[in-house]
Amino acid sequence: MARKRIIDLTTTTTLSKNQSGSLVTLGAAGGFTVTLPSPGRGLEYDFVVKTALTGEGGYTIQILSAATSSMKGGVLSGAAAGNPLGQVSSGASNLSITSAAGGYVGTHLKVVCNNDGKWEVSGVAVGTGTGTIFA
Amino acid sequence: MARKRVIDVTSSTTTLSKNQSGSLVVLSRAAGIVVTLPDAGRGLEYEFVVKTAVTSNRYRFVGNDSASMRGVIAQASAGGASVLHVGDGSTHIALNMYGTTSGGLIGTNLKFVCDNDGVWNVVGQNVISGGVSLDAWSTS
Repeated sequence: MARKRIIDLTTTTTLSKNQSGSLVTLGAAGGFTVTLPSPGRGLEYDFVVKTALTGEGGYTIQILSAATSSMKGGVLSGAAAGNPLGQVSSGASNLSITSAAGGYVGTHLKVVCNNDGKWEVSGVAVGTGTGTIFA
Repeated sequence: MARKRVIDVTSSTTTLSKNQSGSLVVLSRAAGIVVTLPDAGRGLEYEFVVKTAVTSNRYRFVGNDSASMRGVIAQASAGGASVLHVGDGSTHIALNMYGTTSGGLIGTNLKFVCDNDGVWNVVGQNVISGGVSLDAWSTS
């Protein structure tokens, strides 16, 4: 029986390579930062917003070093019951989840590291609007 | 080489077991299927794809223990604008897809993962066929 590992986060954290394959829940209304490990082909993490953002803070999912990696991909981002916009990046250094962009319960983002050491990003983000996710 | 287990469902109801976690479940019955997930358990995960569009009744997803569901589903017709429908993780316990307006047409795909709180986290795309997009999330 296959089961996914679940990691509940409520504070700033750096993920390890051994945690690859996990579903990471983001659970603090004030937000925090999650740092990915150094790139490694096939590493993958799923993130879900478990606790909605309520203030100025945000959930930030960042790469370890912009000198050695970046993020690219596409995410649908919008408001509940609204029409989302597709957001695309070929060279971001983090995913910036704010109240306006993905900060609501249900947002689900996936990152997978490719053979070039880049993080491929996909998912659906729900917040108050269509704010930019890639930064 | 990793291979996913694939389960074809053609009957009106199916109850998935915990041992089937990790499977791709293929839904193929125009008259609909009620899919019952097992009692919540951390890390259980299932993926669903629609092979046959539902044309009567519904594709329904519900936990055996009526566990809550949270997530976001992008719903659209082919070539149409998407609408995001959100499950709140507390009152929502099921998804009901009735076809043209609330989904379950070919191309629909959903992933369910149960977290440490016994809540099903759901993400996916739901295909409809018209301009009206009704919410598939249900509190019953």
